[in-house]
Amino acid sequence: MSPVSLAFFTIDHGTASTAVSLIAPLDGRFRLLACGVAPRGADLDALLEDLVLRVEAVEPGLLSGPEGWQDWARLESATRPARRVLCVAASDDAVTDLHHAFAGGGWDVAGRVSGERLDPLATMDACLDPALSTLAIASPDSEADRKLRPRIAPLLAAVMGQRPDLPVLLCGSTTDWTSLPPGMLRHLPPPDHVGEPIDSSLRTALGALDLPAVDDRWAAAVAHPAANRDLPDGRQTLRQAVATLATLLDRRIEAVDIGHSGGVRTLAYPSGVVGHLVSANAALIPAGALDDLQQVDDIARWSAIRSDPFSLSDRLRNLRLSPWRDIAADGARLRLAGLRAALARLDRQWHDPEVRRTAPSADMLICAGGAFAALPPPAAAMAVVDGMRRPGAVTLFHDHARLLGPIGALPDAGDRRRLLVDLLDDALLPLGSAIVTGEVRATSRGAAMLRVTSHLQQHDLELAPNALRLVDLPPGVPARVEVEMREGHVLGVRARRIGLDVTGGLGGLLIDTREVPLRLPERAERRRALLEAWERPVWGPDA
Amino acid sequence: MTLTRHVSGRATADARLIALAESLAPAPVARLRLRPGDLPLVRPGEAVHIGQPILVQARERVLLEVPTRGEFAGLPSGAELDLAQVAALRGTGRGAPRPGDRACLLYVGTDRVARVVLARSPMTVLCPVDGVVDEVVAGHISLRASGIGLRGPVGWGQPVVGRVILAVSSPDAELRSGAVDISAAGSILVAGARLDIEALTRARAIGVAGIICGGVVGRELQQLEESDLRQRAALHAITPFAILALDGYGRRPIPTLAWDLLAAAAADERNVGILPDARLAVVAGDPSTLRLSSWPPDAVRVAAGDGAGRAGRLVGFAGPVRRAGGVYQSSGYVAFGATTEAPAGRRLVALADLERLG
Repeated sequence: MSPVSLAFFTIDHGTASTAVSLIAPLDGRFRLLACGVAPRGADLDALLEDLVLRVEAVEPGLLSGPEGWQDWARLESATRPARRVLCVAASDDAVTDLHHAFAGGGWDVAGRVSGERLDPLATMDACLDPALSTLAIASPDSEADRKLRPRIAPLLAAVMGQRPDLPVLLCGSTTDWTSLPPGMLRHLPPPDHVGEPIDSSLRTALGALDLPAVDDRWAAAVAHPAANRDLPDGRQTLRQAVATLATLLDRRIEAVDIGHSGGVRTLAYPSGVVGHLVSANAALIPAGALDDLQQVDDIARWSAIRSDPFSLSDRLRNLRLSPWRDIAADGARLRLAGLRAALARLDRQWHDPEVRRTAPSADMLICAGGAFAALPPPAAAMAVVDGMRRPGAVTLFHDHARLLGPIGALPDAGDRRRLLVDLLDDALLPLGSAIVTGEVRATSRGAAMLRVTSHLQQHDLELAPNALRLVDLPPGVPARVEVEMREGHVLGVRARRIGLDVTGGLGGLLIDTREVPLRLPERAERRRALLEAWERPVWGPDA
Repeated sequence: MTLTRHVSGRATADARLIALAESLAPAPVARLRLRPGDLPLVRPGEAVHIGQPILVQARERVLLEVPTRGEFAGLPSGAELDLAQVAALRGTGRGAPRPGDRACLLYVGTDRVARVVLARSPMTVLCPVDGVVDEVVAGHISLRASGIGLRGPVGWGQPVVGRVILAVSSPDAELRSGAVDISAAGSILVAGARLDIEALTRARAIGVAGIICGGVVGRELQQLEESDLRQRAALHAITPFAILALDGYGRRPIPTLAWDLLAAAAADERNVGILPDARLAVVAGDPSTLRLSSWPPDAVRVAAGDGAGRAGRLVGFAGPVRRAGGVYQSSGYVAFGATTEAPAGRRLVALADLERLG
């Protein structure tokens, strides 16, 4: 079989940009030959043709029959703007569970309404909002909830009378809801009492739900080609790809994807996926930030840019409106602030406040999504250690060509595995490793010491408290890190001496002795100075 | 052969790799939000004209709980109630209906208490566009406007309409308060890249109907909102006023296609309606009679960064270029013609900072 017949494209249709790659067999295995990304609104065929032309320009004849590129297979996935839901239940507990199911499934939760604290006018106003995609009602088999249903049922019947166009999801039993028009209800399983990253039968049913496309305020400019097409959901296909990778490598793998319309965090063990969270609130700049100054301020807190707060707010909002523009210079710093804040929001959602045990962790972490692509590798690594703080060591990779989403769209696990085996080195760019020691204190018996030994060099560092240091460790170079403590905890454990293996990357090795969790000073000037000091090593000569 | 570009070393420029600029929307659909207690004055299929009353909006809404003995049984949610009957059932005292209020039923609870919304201080909204009513439902009125639409990401205020006037000489100029003249009362001013709070206040004070600009500063929008809330709280009569920013927040030049359309509309003395909820401006009249520029396929505009607002021709690709901040971006060469501010020349621009006009 000639190589050309097996050449194919992967296309990841994002809400802000489209990533394309050309993959073809070379020396007996599939290789990534070219990749590119363009803002939404660029011509897709022109992007694909450009990949073919670039390969032809570098290695003429590598692709036999390139003129037939339009017939080559396309492996596609798409992410779409979050749908907006109003969560309603008779009791507070039920509405909390419902909120978890939707917020962790990538929905934009417009509000929570409970019969225990009902404001009929505000609820009716929220239900009449044309931007609302659906109304969800939790109906668990609970006596406490049932007692309160008569309080809320007449209001819901009135809403359904006024909005016959609004899909209404009844999640649970139909008991006590006889006043609601049965023909307008869609029946789904009840919400489980689980945290946001945990799967449930309701979450699965929501994934298969067919609802009209979202009326996105940002989408005015260009019709979204992927929105109306029957493409697999990129957030679910990413999960499939990560699960396949965990099985393939027999390692615990975590992926975080921060994009324009949401964030995803998936943790997979060789035995399967143990957590999967899709959050509209973890978008680089959430849609709500356009109207909510507090959300913008929370993001601006992470910025070291010296600018008046209003100009910074305007720039952050513009980042929401046109995320691909103005990347150079301060634009990258602005994205670093947005990414740190988004990862921190995602991290908060990931940790169930009711569960006191430490969240499970992974051996390697894959960064994906458009937000990471707009940063130099050390800055991307820094955003991860700032936003997802936990003591320990982690090896970071970047899905730079956004291949995992489309590969996860392959329905057969065997096909996914075979393709990932071939493409692993091309698909995952080593960003580097990070060691987060947790807070270290200099004591009368001396400071903690850290030694990094690789076949290239040996570094001896004194672990100064509250610092972030970057050690140059080239991609693929393994190193041994030894930490020696006089007293106290390090890396989350009490020990005198700890050794661990790390691997280098484009961002080198980050040594982080700052506290976990990170607390930023309240005073703006002190906060900026501190952030500047932390960021200095990651920007290098551009600082 | 379907490879349309010849490759020899550097790829030739193909502007299709650049995102398309916001296009003009012929016969756009616009929505006007309805809240509980608002009264639509039109029906689906009805033709509407500029200046025609289209809905009555309540500036204040109060929830009233009215004990009933089945008086409102069978009435649908949203039904208008007899105010005298509501007053009789509710009795006097704090929160009781006042003359001039409209009472609308929300629902009657299982406790036989009716939840009623009292709509106070009514304000008639005039239709800002010519067109046909598509839909009237509980949450909105949907209109198919005749004319040509411009969409922008930031809208504020109430629906307005007026004769369009270019208040600045170029899309990247700023409108100063001294340039806002009493002759602009009742009109829609095109204000360039931004306008300061003094210009905004003066425009509103002299009765300008609305502002179309490239960008609006968030702080100024916030001040405007706070001032509006104070006026609403004091129940002062508010003259409708709207702002539509076509490119975002801060200082942003008006996009080229929009500027062309607004300039042609101003030359033709057309009306422009602004629907801030829909973030839409509609140039009234027959779009085919407007003299609009046509752009060649390689025409691009710098949408962000240095030289934002300038239009030129994409003449070649430069591949990935390292930018300040350490990021690599696909870039291209853009040839610019001479202007009064800058000579003709060629510049390297990130493709992501460009938008395609042709």
